[in-house]
Amino acid sequence: MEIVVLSGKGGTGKTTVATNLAQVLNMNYIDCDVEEPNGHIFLKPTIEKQIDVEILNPVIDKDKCTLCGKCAEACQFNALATVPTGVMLFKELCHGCGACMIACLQGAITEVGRSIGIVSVGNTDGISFMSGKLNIKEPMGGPIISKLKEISKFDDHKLLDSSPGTSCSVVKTLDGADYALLVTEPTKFGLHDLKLAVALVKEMGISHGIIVNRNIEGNSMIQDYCESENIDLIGEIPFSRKAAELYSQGLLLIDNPEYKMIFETIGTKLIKEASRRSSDAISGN
Amino acid sequence: MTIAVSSTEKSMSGTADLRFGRCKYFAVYNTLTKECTFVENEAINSNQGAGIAASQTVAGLKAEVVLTGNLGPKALNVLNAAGINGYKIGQTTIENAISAFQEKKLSQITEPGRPQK
Repeated sequence: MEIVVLSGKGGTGKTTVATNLAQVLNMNYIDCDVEEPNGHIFLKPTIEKQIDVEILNPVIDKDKCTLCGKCAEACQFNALATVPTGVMLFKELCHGCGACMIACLQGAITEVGRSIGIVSVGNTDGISFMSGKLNIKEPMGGPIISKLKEISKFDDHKLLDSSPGTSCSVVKTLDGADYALLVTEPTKFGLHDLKLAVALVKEMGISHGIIVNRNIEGNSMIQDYCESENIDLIGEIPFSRKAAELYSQGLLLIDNPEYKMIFETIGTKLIKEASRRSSDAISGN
Repeated sequence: MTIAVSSTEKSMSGTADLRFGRCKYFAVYNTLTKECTFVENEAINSNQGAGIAASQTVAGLKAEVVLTGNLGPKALNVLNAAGINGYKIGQTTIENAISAFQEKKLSQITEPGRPQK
């Protein structure tokens, strides 16, 4: 079972939900929010190894290059420019696709790895922990998420903590997931961005359900939305000072018995819905 | 000499575009023949690197100078390497920008900058 926790809006509690659920459900935790990973703050893992993540950048042999311009023309990311003195590479724009190397008729292009971040692998309280971290100034987290997925591909039960929004990084994290758990808050912004995230998971054909974090009695805007759109409401996490205090100290909410019960209830329902939905998907219902 | 001006319209009397990488057209003016052609800027919808691609376009048009509002760091880098100088214009028309350049009233863009409000 591969479950992705996403939100649309940032700061709704993806990591809070993912870290607490990973512990309650005994699922491996994978932090795919590589631009600002923070799952480690709450799970406090022991890191066993760190793996460098590289992308391939072109290297142009000046002796072989005829300045024909075919490489820059082939580049879909505008990472190359041909000028009279040579070919300029803007390495931070390069996606490492290799098109320039194929386009070069002179065989003047080879590739060299360039480090863009790291993946940390470890464990905490009986579950495995993985986290990706993109280097500062690098714009593209995709290859790090791919690395996390590659390393964890034989893990049966895992929770992937996505970045906010609906961008490439989120799409990459969702790719191949059995179920998407959307975390939101009962605000207009939360609902607005939730709708974008729902549209994304629908487009990708991924079964999904919603958790309302910072739930306030008497405010049912998210519950009403779930009902009108016929989306499973997986659970509600009450808004409280206690939760904010635990969070601010870098503690899991399940350290508090009341919240532990809430997460156990959510976890049970999540697994039930996710299993049902994914078997429906397999049988074509 | 060939002058490229970032433009919002396909007309000499049209408004110049102060953005370089994402302008709609390049007005390409030949000072000898006094002819002006308009080339679409294909970089306008790039996800990234519009300034680089636009620089490549004006280099391909054999422009020797670029008249625009601002140049980003990457565009400035490519234009410098291609031996093309950028000159700063404000809100103006294509023809006025070209006359101002020919009258040496424009200053060269030597530092990357953002559009001014």
